Amino acid sequence: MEKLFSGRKPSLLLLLVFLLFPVSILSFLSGSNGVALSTAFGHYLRYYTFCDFHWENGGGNSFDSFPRHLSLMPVPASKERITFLSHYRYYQNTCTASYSYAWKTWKQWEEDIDWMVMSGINLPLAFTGQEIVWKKLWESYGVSEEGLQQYFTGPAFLTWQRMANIRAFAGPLSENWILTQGMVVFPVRFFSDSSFSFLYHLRCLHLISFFFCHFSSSLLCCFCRFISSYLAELQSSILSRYSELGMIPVLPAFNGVVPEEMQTLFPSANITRLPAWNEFPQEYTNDYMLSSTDPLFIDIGKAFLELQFSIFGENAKSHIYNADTFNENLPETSDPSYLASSSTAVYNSMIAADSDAIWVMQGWMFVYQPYFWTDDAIAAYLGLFLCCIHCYFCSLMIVFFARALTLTLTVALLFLSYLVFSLGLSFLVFSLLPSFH
Amino acid sequence: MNQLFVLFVLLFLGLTASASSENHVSSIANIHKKLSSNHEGKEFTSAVQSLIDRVLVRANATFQFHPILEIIDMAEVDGQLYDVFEIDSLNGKIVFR
Repeated sequence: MEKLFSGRKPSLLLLLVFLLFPVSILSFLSGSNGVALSTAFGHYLRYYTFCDFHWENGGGNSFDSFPRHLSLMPVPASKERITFLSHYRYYQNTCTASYSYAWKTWKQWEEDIDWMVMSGINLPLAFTGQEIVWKKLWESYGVSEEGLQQYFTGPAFLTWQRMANIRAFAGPLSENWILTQGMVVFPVRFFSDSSFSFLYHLRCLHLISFFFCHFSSSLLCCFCRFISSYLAELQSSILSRYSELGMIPVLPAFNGVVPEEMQTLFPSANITRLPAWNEFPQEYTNDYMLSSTDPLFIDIGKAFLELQFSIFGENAKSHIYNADTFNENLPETSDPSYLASSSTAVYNSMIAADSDAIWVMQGWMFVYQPYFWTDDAIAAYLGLFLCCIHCYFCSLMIVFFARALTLTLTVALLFLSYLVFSLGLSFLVFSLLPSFH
Repeated sequence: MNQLFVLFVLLFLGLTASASSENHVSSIANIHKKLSSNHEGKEFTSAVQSLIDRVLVRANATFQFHPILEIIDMAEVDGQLYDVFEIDSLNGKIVFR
C-alpha cells in the first residue's frame, strides 16, 4: 500500500481509497526524506498524543497517554508545516562512544536510533566496531598481538585511546569483551521480529558452520573471528538502519595515533611520543603519534578507510569522516605552515580513499587550549579548505555594506538623472515659450 | 572625475562581495550534494513504517497504524533547500505531509 501511494503528489485514486477505507488508512505522513517523515511521526507523538521518548537513561519512554484505539488518535485542527532550521543535525560527542555506548546491545541501539530519527537528527556519529578495522590495519603493517595489547585500552576508555590520550589502560582489549558483545547481540538479533531477515539468518548459519569447520584447527582463533564478525555485524546493523532511514553516518578516519611497535617496524618514520595526559602513569599514556607530514600518514589513512569500506560495505562510504588530531594534546609547533600542512595531510589521506570526503572534527581543542589556538593558529589549521567563522561573518559584513552602498549610489544616480532630465526639459519648455507669443 | 573613480571602486566591491556570497552558497550546495548522493532516489516509506510499528509495540498499542507515507519537495529558503514536514487534517482525518 505504501509503495502504491509513495508518489510525490496525492492522486485521485489515493483519495478514493482513503474515503473507502477510512479506518485502515487513517493518515498521510509526508516529509522531504526519511528523516523528515520520521520526525513528522515523532512530532505527532510528542505534540498531539502527548507521549514522550528519551534516551534510555534520560527518562526512557512515556506512552501512558497513547490512545487505546485507532479512532482516538487526535486530529490536528489546522495544517502545521515545519521547516528544519539547519541542513545537518549532528549527534554525539566522540566520548559518547565510551560514556554511553561501550556496552549497548542492538536492541538498545535500535531504540536509540529511533529516538534520533524522530528527533530530526540526520548526521550521527558511527564509531561502533572500529577496533576490528584498526586491528586488521595494524596487523597488515606487521604489528604483533602483543603490540596491539599495548595499544588498545579497555572498552570504556577506547575514546581516549583513539584520540591519543591514553593507551593500554584497563586493557588489553580482551576477547571476553568481544565475546560479551557478540553473545548479547546474537540472541536479540536472532529472535527480534523487526530485524528478522533471511539474509541475516543465512549469515548466522554461515558463521556457525564456519565455527564448527575450524574447530579442530584452532579453537581460540576461530572463536575470535566468529565473535569479531558479530561486532562488525552490530556496526553493519547500525549503518544499515541509518541508511534505511536516510541518515548520514560520520565514520572514523586516521588521526595519526599508532602502536608503539610501528617505531621499530618503520624506523625512518617521524613518530614522536606525546606528553603525558591528565597525570596518567607513563605506561598508560605518552601515546605514539605519526607526524602528519610523514609520507606514511597518507598511506595509513587511505588504507584505514579502504579497509573500513571493505568490512562495512557501501553504507560506510558516507563521504563524511571524523578525525580529531590534537585532542588535549598540543602540536609540535605553532608555525602556521606546519599547522596547515598537518591538516592538509589528514584531509589528503581521506580524499585518497574517497574523493568526495568531508572532514568533520570537534572544536573542543580550540576551547581547551586557547592560549595555543589563537585565531591565527586556527585560521592556519582550517584555512586551506574551510572558511573560519570569523571570515564568514566578515564576508557577510562586506556583502551587506557593499550592497548598501551600491544601492544608495544607484538611487542617487537615478535621482540625478531625473533631475538633469527635468531641468533640461524645463529649460527647453521655457526657452520655447516666447516663440508662442 | 574622483567621484566617478570612487563609484567604480564601490561597484567593483559590491560585485566581488556578491560573487563571494554566491561562492559560499555554492560550496554549501556542493557539500549537500556529496552527502545526499547516497540517498538519491531511495525508497524510505517501508523503513519509516517499520519505525512506526516498533514505536507502537513499545507503546503497547492494541491496533495497527498504517498511514500513507509520502515524500514531498524540500522547502526553499533564501535559495537553499531545507528538510520539511507537514501535519494536517483532511475530511476530519489526520494528515501528515
